[in-house]
Amino acid sequence: MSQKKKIIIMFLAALLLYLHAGCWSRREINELAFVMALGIDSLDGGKLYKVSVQTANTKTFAKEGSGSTEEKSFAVYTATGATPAEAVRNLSQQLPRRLLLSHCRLVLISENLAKSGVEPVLDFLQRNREVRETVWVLVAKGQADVLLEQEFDMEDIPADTLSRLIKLGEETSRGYAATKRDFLYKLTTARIDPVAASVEVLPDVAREGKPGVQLGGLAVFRADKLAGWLDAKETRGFLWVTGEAAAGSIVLDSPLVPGKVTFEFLRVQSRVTPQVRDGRVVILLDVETQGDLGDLAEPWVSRGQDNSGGGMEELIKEVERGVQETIEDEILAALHRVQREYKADIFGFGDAIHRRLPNEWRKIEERWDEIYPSLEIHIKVSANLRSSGQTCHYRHR
Amino acid sequence: MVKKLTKLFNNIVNAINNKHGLTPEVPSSVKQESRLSRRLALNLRQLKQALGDSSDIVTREFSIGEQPPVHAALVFVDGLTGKPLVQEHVMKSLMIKAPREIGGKKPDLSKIRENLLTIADVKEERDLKKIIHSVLSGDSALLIDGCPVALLTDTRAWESRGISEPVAEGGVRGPRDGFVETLRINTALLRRHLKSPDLRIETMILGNTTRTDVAIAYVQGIVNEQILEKVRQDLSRIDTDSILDSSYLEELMRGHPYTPFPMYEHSERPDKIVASLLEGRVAILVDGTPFVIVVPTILFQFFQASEDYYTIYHVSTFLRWLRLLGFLLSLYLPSLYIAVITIHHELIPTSLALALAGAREGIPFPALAEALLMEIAFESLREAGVRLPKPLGQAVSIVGALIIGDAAVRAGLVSPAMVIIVAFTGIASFTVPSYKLIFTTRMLRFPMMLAAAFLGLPGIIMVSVVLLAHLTTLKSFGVPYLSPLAPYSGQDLKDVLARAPWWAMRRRPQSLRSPDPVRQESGLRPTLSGKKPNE
Repeated sequence: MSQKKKIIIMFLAALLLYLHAGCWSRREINELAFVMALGIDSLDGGKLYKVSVQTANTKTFAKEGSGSTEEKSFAVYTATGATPAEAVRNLSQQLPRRLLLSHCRLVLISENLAKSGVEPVLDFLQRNREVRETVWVLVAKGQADVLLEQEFDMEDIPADTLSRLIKLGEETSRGYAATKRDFLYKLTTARIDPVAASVEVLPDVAREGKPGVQLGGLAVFRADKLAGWLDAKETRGFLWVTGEAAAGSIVLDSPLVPGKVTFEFLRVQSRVTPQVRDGRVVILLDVETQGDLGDLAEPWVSRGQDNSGGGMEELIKEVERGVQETIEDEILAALHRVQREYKADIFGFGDAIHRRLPNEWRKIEERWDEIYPSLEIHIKVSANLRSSGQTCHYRHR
Repeated sequence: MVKKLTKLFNNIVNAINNKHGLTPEVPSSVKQESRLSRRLALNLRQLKQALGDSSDIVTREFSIGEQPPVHAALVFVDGLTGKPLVQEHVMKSLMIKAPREIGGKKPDLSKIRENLLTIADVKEERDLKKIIHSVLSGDSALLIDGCPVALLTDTRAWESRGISEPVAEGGVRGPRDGFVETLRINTALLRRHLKSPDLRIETMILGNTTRTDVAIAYVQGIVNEQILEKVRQDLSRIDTDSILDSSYLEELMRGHPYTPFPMYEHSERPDKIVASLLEGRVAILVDGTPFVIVVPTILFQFFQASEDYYTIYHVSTFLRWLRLLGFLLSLYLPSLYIAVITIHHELIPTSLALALAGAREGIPFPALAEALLMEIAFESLREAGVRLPKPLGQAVSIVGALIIGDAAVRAGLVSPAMVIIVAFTGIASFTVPSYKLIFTTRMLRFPMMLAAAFLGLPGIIMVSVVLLAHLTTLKSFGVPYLSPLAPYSGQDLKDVLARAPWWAMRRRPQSLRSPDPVRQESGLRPTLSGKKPNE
């Protein structure tokens, strides 16, 4: 056999390798059920898991032809199983298409399940190859599958609406949503407790009896069990402490004359510094914020009369003090609820001590659960109103 | 064992044959050594024997002078020679204007040549074979009784296509002349653009039967001697019976006989060839074709259009990037689409994934089959359109566009997304100026699609690695095919990834190792004040 023949035969054999690989994980895109959101409930007091998936009805996404029919753009399927993984497998008894979890935006965990512990669920999410690290973990007040059934007007798929709500909530410092990665990191670290955003169904009268879905405050976990909720004020308190607050507004009573002032903060920095004082560990919490005036109900026209602008400086100082007080108030509310009541370290104070004062941490590590509720926290807030936004000295005629 | 014995036997037989001089090779009907005799009749008979009874060969017998008249004959090919030329400057001078005493026992050849033939180029030739070649090329052979020498007069004048704009390489700006099928006109075109005495043109005859004139053109002092020597060697190595187009040479010359990539650049534009010569390349012109080859060739030459140098350099740079992108898209786009849609669903943004899934709803074929179907339809359309007469070609494209673009989608046989992908791939492929390279990518697209369908992105990467490895092994006359990227030369990238303005392109391409690498001195950049920048 000549060299050339050998090469040709090798080449043909190599071509056969192509076919051997087969179409191992080939799945046509139209044979898939795109899971947009996953809901997990517990049944029978935690013995059974109920998994519900919100899948996109891809037919309605083709722009041409039959897309404009009244067909619903999504469908929810539910199945039960002894474990989350089994429940997902059992879905195939009703769903004729293979599930695709890689486009899943959010995972809803029902309140009941959250109370009894979410570790099995997160373990399942982590082991599954398709679920993304960035999927949002939310806690549903009530049942998860009921929430998934809710329709919205604006977007085709409710999961899209929810994820937009979450994003907007984060941008306006109203909420904080944990991704799977965040949640798992906090869950697997003993020094931080996880939080998650909450969602609830509102039987809203204003929407003509149509129930709506609303993003609520935070769900506080102690280890993997739901400890309680935070309201809007406490939630923002949490955001101040962790520095997650991005932009938002604080409304104050106008300091000089009757009326209201809106302070819009644009930049927030927070620093948690553990220190040893008198043999005990204390936390120094520094929060700095900068912002502008959103509106000013105070009739500043009258103030312009003195032509000095001095009134403005006074006003800035007053607003800054008001903002500082409000922030401090919010932080205290959050601390009170979380530290005293839920006894969950969602702020990561333990982690801060571990990082900054490793020797101290070793001493208190064992008794951390006892120490934490009475941990002393010194709060220092500084607000900076950058300018009055006044365009000129107005001469009143 | 048997094979070995047969081989041995053959060797022995060959050895015996050689010893006895039995090689039965007579390449043409005329023997190697045959020369003219003194007798005209004999010479004419020999010529007749060699040329046969072809109707286009004219033998005109006449006599010169009177005391006594000398018999002479003129042999030429009807249609290749200009008859007025022959009548006016050969026959009239010899028959009428010749002095009577010119005849005699020993005709005065030098007198005829110097005083009578009013033709610019006259050569003396004794070798019958060369005479025949000359006659077949359009010369007229004057045979005189008593002389063992023929006078070859250059009376070449045949009908040829006029110099017109090249069809395949049009442009908006720049010279509009294009090469034609006649070698002499083509070399003249080169001279017109390049009046340097250093432009050298060497001619040789290739093709044992077609006897085609082949010319090498280069600029002495700029071209690298080693490259030139390689070109000469490779051309002289060729021993074939016919050269009908310069593409014959491309396959017969040195290089990589199995590569699917184009190893020779060709052009119909004299300005492009001259620019290449000035970079230090060698041009090969072949009689009978307007396509001139340029060597050495690198891959990136196929992305350079001659118009790049005639338009604003920023625009040219942008266009070059666009072409590179078009090239990559035409190679990869369908395979990437297949890979993403059948295997890597998580790579598509969600809303796009849903739209694609919706568009594919109810399509009966897997994505690979769909892509192959559409690609084959597209390639057939193009192939059909290329060779059909123009009015028919339009009909084909209309039918094709309707059937593929519309009916197939409406019937639910292919998805609209696939139509977009295939159509865009087709358009992207046309951005590359060289259709030679596009042929290659058109073909390579298919293994790429198969790899994508079976193995996904890893498959695409595997095929790409094989392709790249292959590309790095290629060399054209000693110049690496992927230069100036590999091996890297920042200097040369000025004319590859960008098109630097003329004042910035000081040097000729480094890869060509020119003995005179500097085009111009620095400081040519125009300034507002008109002074040199560093003054």
